[in-house]
Amino acid sequence: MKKIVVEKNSYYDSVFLMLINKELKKIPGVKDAAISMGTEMNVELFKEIGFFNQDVEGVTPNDLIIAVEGESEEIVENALRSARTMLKEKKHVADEYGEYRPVSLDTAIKMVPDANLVVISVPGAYAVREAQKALEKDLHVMLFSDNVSLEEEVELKKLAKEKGLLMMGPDCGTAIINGIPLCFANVIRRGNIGLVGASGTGLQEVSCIIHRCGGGITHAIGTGGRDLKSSLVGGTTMLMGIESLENDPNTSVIVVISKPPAENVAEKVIETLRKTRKPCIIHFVGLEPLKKENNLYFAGNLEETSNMAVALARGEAYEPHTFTIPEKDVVKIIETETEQMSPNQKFLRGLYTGGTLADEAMILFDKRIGEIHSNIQTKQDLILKDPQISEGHTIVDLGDDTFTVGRPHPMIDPSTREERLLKEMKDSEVAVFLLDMVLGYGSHEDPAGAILESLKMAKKMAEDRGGYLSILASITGTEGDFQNANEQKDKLESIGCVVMPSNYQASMLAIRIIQKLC
Amino acid sequence: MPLYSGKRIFKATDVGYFVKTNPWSGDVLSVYSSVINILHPEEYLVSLVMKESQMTVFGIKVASFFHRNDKDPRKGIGDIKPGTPVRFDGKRLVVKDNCCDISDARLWKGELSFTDIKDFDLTRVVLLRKSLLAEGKKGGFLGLVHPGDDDNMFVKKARELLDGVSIGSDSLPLVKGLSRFLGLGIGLTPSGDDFISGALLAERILSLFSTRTKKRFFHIEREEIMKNIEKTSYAGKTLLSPALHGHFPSYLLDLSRGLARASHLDEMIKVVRGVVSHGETSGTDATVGLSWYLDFNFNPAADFSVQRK
Repeated sequence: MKKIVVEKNSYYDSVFLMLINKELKKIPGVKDAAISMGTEMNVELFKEIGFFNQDVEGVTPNDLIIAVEGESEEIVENALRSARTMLKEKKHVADEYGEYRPVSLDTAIKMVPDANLVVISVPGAYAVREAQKALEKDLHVMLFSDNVSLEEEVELKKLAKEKGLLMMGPDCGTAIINGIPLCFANVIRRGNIGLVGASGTGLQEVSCIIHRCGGGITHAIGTGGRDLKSSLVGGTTMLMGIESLENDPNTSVIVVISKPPAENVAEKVIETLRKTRKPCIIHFVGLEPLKKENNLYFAGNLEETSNMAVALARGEAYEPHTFTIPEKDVVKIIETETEQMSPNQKFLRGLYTGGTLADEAMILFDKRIGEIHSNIQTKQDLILKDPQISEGHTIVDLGDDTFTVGRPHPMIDPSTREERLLKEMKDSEVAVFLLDMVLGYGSHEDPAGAILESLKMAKKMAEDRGGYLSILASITGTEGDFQNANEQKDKLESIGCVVMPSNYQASMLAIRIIQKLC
Repeated sequence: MPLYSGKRIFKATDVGYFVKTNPWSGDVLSVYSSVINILHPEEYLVSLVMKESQMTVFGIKVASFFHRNDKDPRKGIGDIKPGTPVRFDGKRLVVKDNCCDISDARLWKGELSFTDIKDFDLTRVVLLRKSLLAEGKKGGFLGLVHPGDDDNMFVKKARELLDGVSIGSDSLPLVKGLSRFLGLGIGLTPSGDDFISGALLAERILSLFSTRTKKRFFHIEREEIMKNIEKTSYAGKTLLSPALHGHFPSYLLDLSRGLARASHLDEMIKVVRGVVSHGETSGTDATVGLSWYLDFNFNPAADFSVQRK
């Protein structure tokens, strides 16, 4: 039994049409099915293979043809009904909200019935309800939304744990699952290193350096910032993430990254890692690395975390280093960058879009230079009185809530940093700008290009004052990202910026320059 | 009464070469997180796009339009739906409360130059085919490269059509029969149209290549395809009309540049992986067309079951 129907003037994207095609072919008793545009060539083909009725006579290239061959008339009718229902639902959703956004979780599940993970990005007030619904439907959850209370997070993670599901977030902005980047993430080679992290840009930086070193990852599981910080949450997602990486046959090395965790949570995490049969690398940003014990390796910074992981994944020994270029080249850069500075130039200004990267730079400075002001300082006396105004050496996290009220995150909208650059360049005491460029999905399409003119202008203003402005940067990204890390590097270097291979190295170079000026 | 009385103005940075600057009115046809397709009264699609990689000669790149309001860029275009009216006064495109101003935008031509393909040589032909086999997406015309695998009804028809492709006896050796692919296959842009666009791209690469090597190649029957262009969908016309004049979408330009540069299989695999991610099977089908055309010119023994007549 063969039947063909026409949907007049129907416009559905190819991905969706292919999906319906697959669904129809799965129906028991359906021998073949095809959904295509009503072009002359397709109509001719359908006629040739025995599909034809009166409707097809007046078809145009912008109509949709649905053809089904089945074992009985009933099966064919049922299949056609299913196809029309799916198209109708899709059309309703499209008319109501545009193609990209299903009206509800239920509609989304109907559109992609095989999905087992849902990314939720709705205002905090609704986020909990949606996450709960998803967990009840046995879906893993990545909750991008923030403004979820601690109690609600505890409840959601409890439910997820009971059901054996991952509850990534709330406020989880980065994950890569089975090679698929979710929200803010980069294009990273598949490999045998598994990551689990309570830090978005931390996960991005580590995964990108792994990629650049020739390594690859299995998964990067995000936990949300509070997972390890709060004893009440108790690292639930982190512990489940570690367990899933332990059970994953493709993962041979486990990496854990987090901002400083609650003490009892840190102990729990370390104890769980100790019991795994795989080598594990732990980096708690800001904490002194502990000594190696059995399968546990402690890294002192994000770059070291990546390098250790790649070495262990290859069965090689890890060689610690500060710079990947020879010391004589470092000295030469420092000389070149400082020789034309005027005597009053002495301060650093770190303008960051990535929170953990800002943290890492600030902690490195804190240890080596001392007085570093910031909007994310934990030392009360060094917190910027007004986050909009720098004092002495300053590092600002421009992604902090203070800067994002009513405007996009600076990783999406570079104008926040550009405005800050304009302010900073007026200060004749500034010697060094330290910048991050976070690439990947979700980020601005050309972060370097977007601020290039301002950086050029800043250099020019310093020159006009008889000095020189040193601009140091690092790129968190890969050549596979749509912004292309190599092209971003070229752009920055074209105006005389020094681009270092990691945030750690850029920060260490900035420290050396400031030390020379002091 | 001014055309625009809304609140938000977005500056377009690039405007496609085929976006006509006479005033017109149309309707939004589809909305995605980084692309909005608008049906022009002349029945082709004008697209507002976020990224360079999404540009076509019918595109307007206006990233700020998609980057606003909050962390999730999709939220910014929530009030624009299929059917929303669009007006264009030659400089500004107005949709709801939003105005995309193209007056300072660069002209985006989508053309391939010799510099883009200067490293191309014939060793790429085999690498491309191998990469396509490894990375191509099933469902469209991939079965043409790999007979027996993914033989859907459209592939069978396409194979029959390829058997009918011949070389004309004109002074300029013309490949005849490709116009029969117009509108064939699944997808909003039927696979056949993507296939032809890939072949046209290959022809353009060979024409640039021949300026250095003087190597002869066959030409594609442009007039025949143009004569029959109404036989395909809006999306198909939007792709093919410019391609017939040597203007290609960004993802196909990237494919050409990558093809020229990739001297090893792993490099070519990366290139193909990038292009097949375009659309459901569009990227794959265009690459199949490109691969077929290169083989047709230089490797008659290739497994496309084409008889030269």
